This record gives sequence, structure tokens and C-alpha cells, in this order.
Amino acid sequence: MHEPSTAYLAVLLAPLLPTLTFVILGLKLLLRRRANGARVARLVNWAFVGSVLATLLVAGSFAFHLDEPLLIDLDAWFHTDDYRFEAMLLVDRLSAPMMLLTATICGLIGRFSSTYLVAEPGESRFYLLLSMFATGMFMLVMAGSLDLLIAGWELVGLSSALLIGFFADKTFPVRNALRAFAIYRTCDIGLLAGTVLIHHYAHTSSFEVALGLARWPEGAPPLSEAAANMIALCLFWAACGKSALFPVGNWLPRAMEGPTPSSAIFYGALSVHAGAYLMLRIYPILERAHYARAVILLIGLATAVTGTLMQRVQTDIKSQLAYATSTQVGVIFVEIAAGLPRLALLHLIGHALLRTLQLLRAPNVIHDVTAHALPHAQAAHSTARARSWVYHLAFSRFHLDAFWDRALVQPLLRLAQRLDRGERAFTTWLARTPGAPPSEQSPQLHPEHRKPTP
Amino acid sequence: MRQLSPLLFLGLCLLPLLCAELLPFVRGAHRVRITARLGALATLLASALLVSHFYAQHAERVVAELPLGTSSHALHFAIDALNAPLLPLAAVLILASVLAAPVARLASRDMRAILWLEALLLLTLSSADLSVLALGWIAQVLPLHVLLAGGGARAARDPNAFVTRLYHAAAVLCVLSACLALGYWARPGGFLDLNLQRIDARAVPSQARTLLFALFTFAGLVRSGVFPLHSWLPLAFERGPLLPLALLLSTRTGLYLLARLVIPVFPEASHAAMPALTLIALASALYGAVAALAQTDLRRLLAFWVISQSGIMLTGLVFGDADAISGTLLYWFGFAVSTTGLALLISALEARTGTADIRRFGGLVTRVPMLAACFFLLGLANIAVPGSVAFVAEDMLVHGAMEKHPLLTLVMIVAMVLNAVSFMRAFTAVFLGEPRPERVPQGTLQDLLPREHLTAAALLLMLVLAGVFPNVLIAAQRPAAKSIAFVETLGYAQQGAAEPRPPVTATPVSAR
Repeated sequence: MHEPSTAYLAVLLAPLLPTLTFVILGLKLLLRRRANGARVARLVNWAFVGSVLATLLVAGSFAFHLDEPLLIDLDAWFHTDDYRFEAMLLVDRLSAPMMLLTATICGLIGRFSSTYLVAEPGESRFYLLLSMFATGMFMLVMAGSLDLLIAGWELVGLSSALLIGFFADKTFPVRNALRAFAIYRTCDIGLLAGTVLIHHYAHTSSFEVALGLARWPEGAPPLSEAAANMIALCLFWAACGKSALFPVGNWLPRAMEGPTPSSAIFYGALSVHAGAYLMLRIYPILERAHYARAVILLIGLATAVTGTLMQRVQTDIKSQLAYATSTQVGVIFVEIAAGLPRLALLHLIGHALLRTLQLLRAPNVIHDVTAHALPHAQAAHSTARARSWVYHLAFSRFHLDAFWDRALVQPLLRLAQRLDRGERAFTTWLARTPGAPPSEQSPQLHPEHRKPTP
Repeated sequence: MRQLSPLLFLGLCLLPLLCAELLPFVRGAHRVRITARLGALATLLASALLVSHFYAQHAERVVAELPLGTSSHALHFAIDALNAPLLPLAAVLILASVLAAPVARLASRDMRAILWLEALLLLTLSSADLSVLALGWIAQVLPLHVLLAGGGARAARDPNAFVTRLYHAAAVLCVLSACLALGYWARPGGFLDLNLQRIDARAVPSQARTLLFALFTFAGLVRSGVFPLHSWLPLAFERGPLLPLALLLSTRTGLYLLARLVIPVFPEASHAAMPALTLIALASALYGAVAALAQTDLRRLLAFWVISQSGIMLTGLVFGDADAISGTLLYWFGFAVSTTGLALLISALEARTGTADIRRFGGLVTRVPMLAACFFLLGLANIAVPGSVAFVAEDMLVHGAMEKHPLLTLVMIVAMVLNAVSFMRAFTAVFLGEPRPERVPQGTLQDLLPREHLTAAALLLMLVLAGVFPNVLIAAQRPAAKSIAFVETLGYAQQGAAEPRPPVTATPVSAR
């Protein structure tokens, strides 16, 4: 694997520019410096312009004269005698178009937001989170090891949750951000487990070795079928969370509470496809994991079918688009499971671009409806099939939220409350044992407590 | 090679003590604060000097001996890979506390208690004698109890303080009786001459050895707040002096007792008790994480995070894998810094609003934006976001543990996930959402003062630097991790009769 100098520099420059803006903006905001929104927008947008040019160069190199994957070993981030956290970048026929897509859409959204969010409180915060997302997304798509991919994955998840709760003074965006964060974290267990399993079976998490990578999607991973199935299923669980697949995907319409540009970039274009990218990246493992592929096929189908049904009963444009996205993402997973990774990649890119356009146009839909009387928009309000059970099922979002609440959230909270009550009862009993001084109601042990002293 | 003097160790422990005893003679609150801060800063510099001397020696362990008069007894100090990072860490956390604590907590009495705590912590961490280590370890809780008793006559009679005293007294009794028994059996010189390196627990009858192991372990688990010996912790956090408590728990003297004394001196018993300790550790990790979900008080919430994270660290320690132990030691560092930072911010919030009740807050981000940002970032560092030291630590811990017990490690991961969720839940409830003017105090709320802000930023910087360049800390602590893993995995039986301890390159430096 050779490392041509121009492409090498471009590969490093593409993620470096948004990362630098993220660090600069973060430090500036943390040190209480007031940031001028317009200046911040300009800084971030120029960084994205640089990224777009760099990724164009990288993608051009792959289109015209680079054939083999480009691997850049940045040395281990940390290591012990037996374990290395592989920090290497991998650019190949899968990551090069994804880099270009990431840079382009981030640049477009940055430019769009400089008008859309002008004078909005928190404009600088939006650009900070956008830069953080771009850093994470570049890390995710350029990662040459599963270890580094986790770091990018976490940054994407965190920025996503923070942008859902961007309007921090409103109740529902904050609540929905918390829900999305909880689902992300729960599903990330699969990513951690999958990574450790890869380390265990392949003795590294480097894609070059663990996937036996040749020219994507070809590869010869040094894994047995059982190991491949286990790893693929663990990673697929992580993908379910990030790509909002059935049955954990109902956070997607809730995520639309964030500003429209962030909805477009996260839930129309990039973040929602991160799960599909992960599956495409480990495609050589999937080729050996027949059971896992069957599961992916079924879940992808279920996501597509439920998504399209739910989309048809939504009464607001962003929810419609969220479920339409869910449908297409389900289809992309079906394509991956059916052994069509190149088609899935094309589908992913096309869908990301289309959905970005639709979501950015969404605020104008009311104008479009009244001016041009769009038949689709009116059809969305139709209740002609209100009595059919499909309608009810779709309208109630297949009771998935209620199911998870009843099956997991409420029992967990009840258990937590019982434990807390038990804890308090035990300490009260202990305090009343012979030899203990007489109990008093809510005594305070220390003068610092509950005493406002600003 | 430059020689180390025992006076360096002695000076390190005496500096905060002298400063604490100087405080009653200083007039004026402002001068008291300045004196305490100068004392804490001087102690930090002294600890940095000592640690730099240690690393300059390139030895695994450097010892110093201070003879006690004309008798044959001597005080022994030692610095190695386990305590070398902990000494400056404790000094940094104390300095951060005296810099950023609310003014009401910077009175002479509180400052004296914190500086006494620092002296005892440093004595415990640097001592190589069982007797001194045990006495320092026991005495660490005294400043806390002095503050507890100082809450007025009503507080002194408080039944809840009784619970804290009960647990601590039990731990103290265990350590005292185990030390005396060990002195009786293991060293002809008795309790006063118990250099940790020369203790041979094989001289203790096997049944008594198990009992001594159990007594020390019990004490360590009580002090760490590990389930089911944790019940004093939420109560003390909720109603006691938060900063000294957070400092005591952050420095993990309970786990230090296990790592420094219990596992090396009783490797056989540690090995045999590993399954039980693993279960206790995982139960603690999960119990703390689940119970945290029900908390409505920030102080109590912090206590349950401590319980859960104590369990996570104990899991890494007892799994016996060198990578997991390396991860644990790194986690220890991140946990200490972020927990102290969060305690400082909770104190700051409480000083401004008069409450730590989550239900009474909401939407504070618009009123105290910098406090919200620092709380959020320190919390993120606590839940292992990439770029923080906890991310690296969790990665190593999970990797090492998963290699040994994949299914049990899943329990640990679930606890980590729940901790992250409960943090986000608390943060959103306190700082985000619609403001509730009818609940929080009316009028202007003071955002972080420059000293508070800079301290929080410095703590954050420590976490980020250690997260971005973790190899320095990993390499510094690696010999300690290997040593713990070695003795824990093999035990006496496999090590052969001649040498009960892993070989160490000692560089004895006599004061004579």
C-alpha cells in the first residue's frame, strides 16, 4: 500500500480543518470569550471549503489513478505490552466517497445555517457542535481500525443528542435528546462488545488485518463463521441504534426537534447512515456471517415496511421525512444483506443528498402547499383508511415506544426507586438501633447544607 | 544517582500539617484563605519534586529510612509506580478544593480539616510501614468526623451521623485488629517494625490468614463505598461536608489499601476470593448505576456514581489482567479529578441556590451558563467521551476484562451505560428545559467566579491532556499493574517457597 504525498496530505487535511475549528471554538467558548456568530460561521464555512477541496482531491485520486487502499498509520494512540489502540486512517473505495459526502453536506449545511440561524441565540454553539460532528464523522469514515471508529461514533452520537436538545429552554427537545442519547448508549454496547471480539479472534482491530482487506468490498477476514456471526451481530446492534432501525428507531422523528439544518445533516444525510456505513465497512465479515445477514435482512425489511406505513399517517412534514428516511435506510440494509454492497453505497449517497434537499426545503412546505396545492401534502392528512388496523398500527407507531417503556424503562425506574427506598429504610433502621441517639426528622449535619451563601 | 532523603517524604506530610496548625493564628478570613492556598500549593510543589526525583532514578521502587532515635526501629517511606502518580494527584485535588470552594467553606475550621486530610492522605500514600500506613488510613476520617460534629449540637446527635460513624468505626476496628494480629505473627519485631516489603504472611496460621485478609478487605470495601458496605456513603454525601468527603472518596484510599497491602501480602487469599470479590464489585457497579436513576438530590446522585464507579474499579482490580488493572489505575485518575470537579460545582450551585434538590431546578443554563458548561464537560469526562482519560481507561478496562470474563464484563458495560444515562438525565433536569422561576431563587444568580471557573477549566484540561496523551500515565503505572496482576494470579503456591513477592528493583536510601 503506497502513500502518494499529495493524496496523503489531502487525507490529513480533510478532517484536520473541522477538528481545528472545533478546538478553537471550544476553547473560546469555555474561556468565556464572546463569539460573534457571523465570524464563527465564516470560520467554520471556510474550514469546510478546505475540507471539500481536500476530499475532492482524494476522491479524484481514487477515481483516476489510485487503486489500492491508502493506509496511514498514526501510531498507536495508547498501548500496553499486549494491547494497542490502533490509530490508523484508511481511505479506499468506500471511505473516499463517504469523505466527499461528509465534507460536501457539512459545507452545504454550514452555508445554509449562516442565513437560517442568523441572530439565533446559540448560533456559535450550533457551529461548535457542527464542527464536532464533522470531526467525529470524518474519524468514523476514515478509521482504519474499529477502535478509532468507536471514537468517531461516540462524537457523532454526542453531537447528535446535543443538537436535538439545541433549544435548551424547551421541554420536549430536551426530553427527546435524552431519549436519543439513552438509545445510542444502549446500542453502543454492541460496538464495544464487537470490538473486543475482533481483538480476541483477529488479535487486532485494524481493518487491514481483521477484514483481510484487499479492494473493498473484497476481503478475507481471518475469522471462523461463528466468530464472524457473533461480531457482525454485535456491530449490527450498534448500527440499529445509530440508523434508527426497527425496533429501536422511533427516536428518529423525535430527533426532528432540533434546528432544521441539524435535522438534515444528522437524520437525513450522515448520522443516520453511519450504521449502514459500519455494515459496509465490515462487509467481508458479513460475507461469512450468514445468520447475521439473515437477521439484518429481516430487520431491514421490518424497518422499511413499518417506516413506510408510519410515514403515510404523519401530519407534519419533518415526521414524514423522518419515516421516509427510515424506510430507505431499511432498504439499504436489505441491499447489504442481499450481497449488493456497491448498490447500497450508491443508494446511501443518493438518498443522503435527496433527503438533505427535502429537509432543508421542509420549512417552506406550508408555502408550497398553499401556493401550489401539492396533492401529496394534502394526502398526508387523509383519514380515509382510519378504520383499518394498519392505519391504527401505523398511527400508534407500532406501539414501539410504549413497548420499550413498559418492557425496559418503567421496570428499570421502578427498580431504581425500590432500591432507593430500601436504602433509606435500611439506614433509618440502622440509625434507630440500640445505642444510637434518638432520631430527629430531617436533621442537618453540617451548616454548609441548604444555606444559600453566594 | 542522586540520593533521596527521607526528609522529602517527611516534609511532604508535614507541610500541610504545619499550615493547618498555623491557620488559627491567622487573622481575617481573606488571610486564612491565602495561607491555606499557599500551603496547598507548596505541598503540590513538594510532591512534584519528590515524584520527579523518583522518575529521575529510573527505579521501580525507591525507599527511604528515617531512624527513630537510638532504637532499632525506623520509619520507612517508599515511592513506586502505584503511589507516584497519586501523590501529586491528591495534592492537586486539595489545591483545587481550597481554590474553588464556596467562601462559606473556606473558613479556618474547614481549611484546617482539609489540610489535615491532605497530610494524612500523603502519609498513607507514601508510607512503607504497615503501622504508619494503618494509622494514617484510620486517621483520615477524623477531619471528616470533626466537621460532622461541628455542625452544632443538634448535628452531633444526629442519628444519620451515627450511621457514618458506625461504618467507619467498624472499618477502623478491622484494620487495627488485623494489623495487631499481623504484627504478632508475621514479625518478631512487633507492630512497630512492619515494613511492608518484609511482611511474610506465611508465618500466620492459614485460617487466621484468611481472617486477616477478610478484615482488611472489609475495611477497604467500607471505605470505598462498595455495595453492600456502602450505606454510609449516600447519607454522608447528602448531609455531610461534601468537599472533604469527595476528596476522601476521590483518592480511593479503600482501593489503595487493597492494592498496596491486601493483594500483595495475601496473594493466595486474594486469588481464592477473586470470584466473590468479582461478584461484589459487579453488584456494586450495577447497584450504584441503577439506584442513581432514582435520585433527586445532586449530592446523593454523586454518591451513587461513586458507589458504581468503585465497583467498576474493583472489578478491574480483581480480574487480574494487567491491561484491566492498567485501565483501572487510569480510571482512578480520571474518576478522582472529575468527581472532585463535580463536587466543587455542586457546592457552587448549592451555595448560590441553597439546595441540591434536582426537582427544584430547571433551565439554569440561561442563568449560569458557565457553571452548566463546566458541569456538563466534567460529567462527559466522567462518562468516557472520546478525548477524556476515562475513554482510554474504559477501553483498556473493558478490553482486559472481556478477555477474562466476557459475560461478566457485559454487566460492567451496562453499568457504564446507566451511569451515562443518569448523568444526562440529571444535567438536563437541572440545567436544560423550561426555566422554573417559581422554584429556583428569584433574582440574579452569580455565574462561576473567575477562581471557580479557572479551577474547573484546569481540572478539565488535566482530563483532556491525560486522555489525548495517555501513554505517559499508562507507562508510569504499568509496573504497578503488572505487579498486582502477577501476585493476584499466581499466589504463593505457584511462586515457590523461597520468594513470596514479585521481584522488585529496590533502591534503598538510608538517612544515616
